Amino acid sequence: MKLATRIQQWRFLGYGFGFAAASAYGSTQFLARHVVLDYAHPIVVVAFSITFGFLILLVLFQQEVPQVTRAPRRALFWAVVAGLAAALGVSSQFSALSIAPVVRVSPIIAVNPLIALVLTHIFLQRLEQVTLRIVMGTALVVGGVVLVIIS
Amino acid sequence: MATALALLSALGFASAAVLSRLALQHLRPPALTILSLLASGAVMLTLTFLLYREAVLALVPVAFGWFALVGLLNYPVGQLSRNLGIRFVGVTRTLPVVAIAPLIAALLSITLGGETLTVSLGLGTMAIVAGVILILTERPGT
Repeated sequence: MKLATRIQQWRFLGYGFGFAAASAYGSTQFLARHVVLDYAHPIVVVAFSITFGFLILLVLFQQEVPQVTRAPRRALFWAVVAGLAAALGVSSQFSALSIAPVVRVSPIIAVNPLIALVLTHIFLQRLEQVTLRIVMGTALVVGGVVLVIIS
Repeated sequence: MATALALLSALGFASAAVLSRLALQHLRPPALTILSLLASGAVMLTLTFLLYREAVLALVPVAFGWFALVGLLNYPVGQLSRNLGIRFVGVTRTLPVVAIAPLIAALLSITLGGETLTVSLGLGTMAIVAGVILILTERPGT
C-alpha cells in the first residue's frame, strides 16, 4: 500500500477516534449533571466511574496487560503521571464547578487545547509540528466552544 | 479561587494529553488507558474513602448503575478513543476535535432536553465547524 494512502487512512482513523471521544464526553456531560444532582458528590461519581471504566477495559483488553509489564520504565512513568494529571484535571474541574457557575468555569477549562499546543511546542517538538493552521483552527474551536458554553 | 481551579483543571487535561503522547511511543493505546486509569482510580478512590466515606456508605444500588454507564462512556469509549486519536494524528490535531464535546452536549440538551437554540450557540457552532475544517483539511506532511 502506498505511503500516502496509509497516511490518509491513519488521519481518517485518528480524526474518527477524536469525534468518537467528543461524542462520548459530550454524552457524559449531558448525563453527569443528573447523576451528581440525584445520587452522589462529584468526587464520588468520578472515583466510581473511573473504577468501572478501568474494570470494563481490563475485561475487554486483558491481552494488553502483558505489554504493560514488558514496557520500558519511562513509558510506564509517563502513563502513570498522565493518569494523575487527568485525575487532577477532573478533581479541579468538579471543585471549581461546586463553587462557581458553569458559565464562569467551563470556558476557562475549554482552553486546554491551546495549553496543549504550548506544551507540545515545548516538550514534543521532535514528535509533532505546531503549524499556523493548527493554531488558527484550535483558536476557532476554543472560541466557538466558549460561545456555546456561555449561551 | 474558582478561576485558579479551572486553570489548574485545563492544565491537568492538557498535560495528560501531552504525557500520553510520550507514553504512546512505547505503549499501545489500550494498555496506556488501563495503566493511567489504574493510577487515577487509586488516587480518586483513596480520596473518596478518606473524605466522603459516609456518603459512599449511603449510596443506593441504582447509583452504581449510573456510575457504570458514565464510566463506560468516559473511559473505554472516550479516553481510549482520545488516546487512539493521539496515536494516529497527534495531540495538536486530536484535542481540538475532542474539544467539541460541549457542542454535542448542547445539541443533546436541545434535542432531548427541550432547551432552545440561541444566537451565541449558533455562532459558536459555526466557529467550531470552521476550526475543525481548518484542522482536518491540513495537507499531510505539514
